[in-house]
Amino acid sequence: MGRYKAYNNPAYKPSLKLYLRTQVEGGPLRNPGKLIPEKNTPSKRICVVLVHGYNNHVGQASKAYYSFRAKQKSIQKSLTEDNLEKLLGDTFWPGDAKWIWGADLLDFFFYSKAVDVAKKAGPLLADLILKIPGLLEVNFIGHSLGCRLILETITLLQNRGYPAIGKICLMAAAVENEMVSRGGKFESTLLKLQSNKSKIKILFSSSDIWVLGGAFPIGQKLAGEGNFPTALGLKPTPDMLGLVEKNRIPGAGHSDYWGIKKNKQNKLSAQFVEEFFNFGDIKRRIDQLQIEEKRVVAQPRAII
Amino acid sequence: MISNLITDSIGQFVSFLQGYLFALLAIGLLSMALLEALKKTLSIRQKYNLFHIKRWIKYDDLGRERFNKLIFANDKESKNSSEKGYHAYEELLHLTTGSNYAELLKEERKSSFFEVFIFYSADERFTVFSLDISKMMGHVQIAVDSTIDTPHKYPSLYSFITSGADFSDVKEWYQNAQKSELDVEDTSIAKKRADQFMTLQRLAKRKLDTFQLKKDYRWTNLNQLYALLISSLLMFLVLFLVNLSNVLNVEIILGFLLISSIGGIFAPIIKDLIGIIGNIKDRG
Repeated sequence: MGRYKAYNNPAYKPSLKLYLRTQVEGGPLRNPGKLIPEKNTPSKRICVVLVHGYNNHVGQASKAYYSFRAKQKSIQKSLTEDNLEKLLGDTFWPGDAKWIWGADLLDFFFYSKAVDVAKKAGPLLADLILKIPGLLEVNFIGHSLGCRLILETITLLQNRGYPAIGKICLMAAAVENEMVSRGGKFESTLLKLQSNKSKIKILFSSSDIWVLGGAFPIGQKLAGEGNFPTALGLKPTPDMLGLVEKNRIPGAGHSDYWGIKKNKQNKLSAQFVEEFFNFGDIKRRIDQLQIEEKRVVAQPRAII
Repeated sequence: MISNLITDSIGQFVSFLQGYLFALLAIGLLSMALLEALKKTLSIRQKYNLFHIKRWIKYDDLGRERFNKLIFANDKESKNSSEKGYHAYEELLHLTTGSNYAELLKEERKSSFFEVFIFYSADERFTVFSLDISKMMGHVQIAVDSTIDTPHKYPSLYSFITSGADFSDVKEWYQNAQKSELDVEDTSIAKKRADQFMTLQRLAKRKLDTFQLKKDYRWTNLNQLYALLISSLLMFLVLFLVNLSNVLNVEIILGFLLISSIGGIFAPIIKDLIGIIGNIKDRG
């Protein structure tokens, strides 16, 4: 008996799922993965693949993806459901564990295993992407450990030579800074992206102290990757390779990116994503995006 | 008894005020409708946007020419491009509308305010400039992104949009934009290129932000100014026509002018005012 709770929202009807799971909670990777719907899979010339993070079962991932859609539609009024839906593909991968009821706190100990799952899921997700009918360009939006899965997938897609990689948005990325710098694991991947002018948006927050600040360095160490490294989504290194645009989401916790909560961090995150991808209407916004925080002038001086 | 008297007086005054304000509302609505009709039929927005974009680009001519000389002095492709007469404005129009350069050169000749606003009729090719400024600038942003991605194809626009940046960044990115990072032996060179690209893109973004803010502000202010002028004019005409049978002297006409000026100020906001007064009356 796990913590699984189905997400029964009839409004959540994704046009395409990239499904790498065998169970709704925990369980091994599905090999090979499957596209849902399997029959009459919709053709997509351009696809934006959404990838959830660590410790999300199917219900939680579905909620995150639905919230993302709802948030995009709320900030871009002219964006119709069809216009957005025809672009998106929702990935489901088993970056979570199934524990007995009441043992959810043990999820933390699954992190090092989840890193391994993300690495193994890369080739499977790449295969699934190649099966999307009519695909010419793939873009990615990922969260947490999903960002690691994205980078693994892109590396493999680049080796195949197609489809073209468009834009990549990494939110609260659970990826070591060293991996995206000179001599790092993804050095060649990022240089290839740079050659093709593929842009990368990093959304980060130094307030993500529990997951990326606390659990990530220990989890990576346990996974045998680095010596208590710093996460890209906590404090991105200035040495990151590629055409990178970084935006801080002030005060954002680890789950303040998909739009599940109704707070300013979720809204700001959605605005950055919308500005980066230009879903729907092409529109330039200059209000909230550049001015993240108001300047506070010093307190008035008191004359004693 | 006294309280009833006060309530009645207030009711009468509010009724009178409502009648007066409804007249103002009618004028306000009519002037708004007139303004919108004029904007639509004369394609004012398209002309406004094109005129200001052109002025914006022309304004930077000195910087552009300096950069042209420095960057493109030994560059055959760009030399040919400038011999053909392609200007940053035409390159931008080409990127935003897809029109060919030969057609766009004709546009280039229209430059004065008079020519653009009086003789120039709306052009369907330039519909993108009829959009509201944030949407139009979205398309301009895409054009500018393409320019920085492939500066050799749009050298004039590239030099315009990067003027003010560190000269070595502009020159090096122009020379290296098409090179593959995979041929670079030292990764630090690739990193430097990426930084140059992002620096130029940030500068371009700030330039677009500034332009967008300025023009949006100016458009809003002009709309308000014209709404006020049209409302005042309409009110003056109404007062004049209604009192045509009466004796009109200079004092009365000056009075009309004063009333219509005040009415013009209030006409655009009168709808909200009537709502507030209606609430007061209901409570009474």
